[in-house]
Amino acid sequence: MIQLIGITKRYPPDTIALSEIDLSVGKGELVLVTGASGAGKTTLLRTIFAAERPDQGQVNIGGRDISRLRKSAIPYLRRNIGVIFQDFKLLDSRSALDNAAITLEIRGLSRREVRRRATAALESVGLGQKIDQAVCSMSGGEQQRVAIARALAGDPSILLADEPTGNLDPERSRDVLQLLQRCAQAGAAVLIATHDPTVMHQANYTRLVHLTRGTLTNDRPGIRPTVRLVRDDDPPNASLDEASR
Amino acid sequence: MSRLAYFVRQTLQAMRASLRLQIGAVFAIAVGLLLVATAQVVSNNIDAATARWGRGLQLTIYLKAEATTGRITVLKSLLEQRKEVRSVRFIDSATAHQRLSESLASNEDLLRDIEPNLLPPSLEVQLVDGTDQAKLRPLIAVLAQAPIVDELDYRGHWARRLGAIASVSRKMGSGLALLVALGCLYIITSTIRLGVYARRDQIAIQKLVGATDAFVRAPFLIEGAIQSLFGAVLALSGAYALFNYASGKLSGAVGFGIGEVSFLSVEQIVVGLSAATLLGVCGSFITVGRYAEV
Repeated sequence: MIQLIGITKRYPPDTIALSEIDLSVGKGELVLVTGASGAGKTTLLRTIFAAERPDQGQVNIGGRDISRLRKSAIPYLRRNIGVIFQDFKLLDSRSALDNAAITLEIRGLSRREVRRRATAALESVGLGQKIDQAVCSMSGGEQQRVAIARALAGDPSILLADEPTGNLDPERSRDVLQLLQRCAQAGAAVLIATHDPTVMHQANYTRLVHLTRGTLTNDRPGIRPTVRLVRDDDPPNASLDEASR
Repeated sequence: MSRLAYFVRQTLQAMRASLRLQIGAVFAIAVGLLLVATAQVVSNNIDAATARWGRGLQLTIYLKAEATTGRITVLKSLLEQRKEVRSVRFIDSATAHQRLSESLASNEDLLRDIEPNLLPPSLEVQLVDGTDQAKLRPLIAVLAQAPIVDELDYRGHWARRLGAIASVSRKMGSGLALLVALGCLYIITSTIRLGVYARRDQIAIQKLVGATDAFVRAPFLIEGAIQSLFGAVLALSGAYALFNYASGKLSGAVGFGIGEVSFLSVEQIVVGLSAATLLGVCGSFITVGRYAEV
C-alpha cells in the first residue's frame, strides 16, 4: 500500500529531515513511527500525502509513484488518505460537523450523505452529542477527536496520524488508539507518528519504526500484531487509479 | 446540481461574514457602472436625435417682408417641381408668432412686446430621404439668388454637428467604460483578496484533505459574479431613476423633442449585466490564482 524507497528530504540550508528511508506499510498494518521531536516523523508523513516532495527516492502509493503525479492529480490522491494533524487544522469558528464534513464535501456527495457520514464519524469518536458545537468552544481533547473524525469520515485506505493522542487523557487516548486499530483491521494502512511512550504500550501495532535525526534506526515487528482482515494483493483503491490517470 | 448549491451556500456564508465589505464593494462598483450607464443613455439619445434630424431633413427659406403673395406662390410651385423636395409649406408671420409662443409655453410674456408681423414669413421645405448637403447645393445656389429670399436655414447642419457630438460622446463613453472596468476590476480583486486572506486557513485545510483548485476557486468566482451583478443592477436602477428625473425636468423646461428620449434598450441591459458579471468572474479568477496559490 505504502512503499518508501530511499527517501531523502533536505531543508535549506543544510538540515537533513529524512535520509535514505526505506519503509513499506501494507494493508491492515498499523505502524508506529517513534522518535524525538525533530526526528523527521512529521516530514515522513507529509511525504506520503504529497505535502512534501522528496529530494531523492520514490514514494509508491498503491503501487504508483506519486512523485510523478501531476499537480492536478494530487487532490485525488489525498482524498484516499486520512490525515490527523498534530495541530488539528480545524476551522475554529465552524461546528464539529462542518469540520468533519469537509473531506466529504470536496467529493461532491449530497448534503444528506455528507451529514450522515460526518455524524457517524463524530459518533465514532464520542462526539455524537456535540456535532453542532463550535470547535473553538471545545477542549483540546475534543478538538483532537474532531480532527480524527474528519480523517475517518472519508473512509480512507491510508490513515496517517501525527501525535493523535497528544492532547488526550489516558482513557480517551486508549479509545482513539482502539479506533485506529479498528481502521487497520478493516483494511487501512495506518501510520502513527508519536513520541509518547504510553502509546507504544497501549497500541496494538504490527510494526514499530524509530527515527533518529531523519534516519531509520530501528524497524521491528510489533509484540501484538493485529489480526489481518485483508491481503496485500487486494486491488488498490479506485481513487488512486483515478489520481494517476 | 448539489455541488453548485454547495458552492452557492459557501459563497453566501462567506459573504454574510464580511457583509459590510461586500456592501461597500457593491456600492463602489455601482457608482462606476452608473457613470457608464449614464454616458450610454446620453450617447444613445444623441444618436437617436441625429438619426431623427437626419431623417426629417428640412430647409427653411426666410422671406423678405416685402415679398408679395404672387412671387411667394411662384417660388413655392418652382420648389415643388424639384426632385429633392417632398413638400413645401408657407408659414406666414402670424403662424410663426403663434408657434413661437407655443414653444415658449410658460415664458410667453417674453413675446409681449413683439409684434406678430415682426417675424418673417417663410417656406418650410421637406426634403426627400437621403438628401445631403451636396445634393442640395444647386438648389441653395438658386435660392440664394432669388430676390425675395432673405435667409436660408438648413437643418442638416445641426444633424451633422449632432453627429460629431455623438461620435465624440461615443469615444468618451468607450474610454470611460474602460476606465470604470479597470476600477471595478480593482475593487473586485481587492475584495476577493481580503476574502482569500480571511479564508486562507480554510483554503489550506481544503487543499490538504483533497480539494481541487476548481473546488477552492468556485466560491470566489461566484462571489465576484454576485458583487458585479448586484453592482450592475444597482447602477442600472440608479441610471433609470436619474433618467426619469432628468427627462421630466428637461421636457418641462423646453418643449422641442425632449419627449422622445429613451433609456437603454433591453439588449444593452442584458449585455451590460453579462459584461459586469464576466468582469467579476475574471477579477476573482485572477485574484484567487494569485493569492490562494491555486
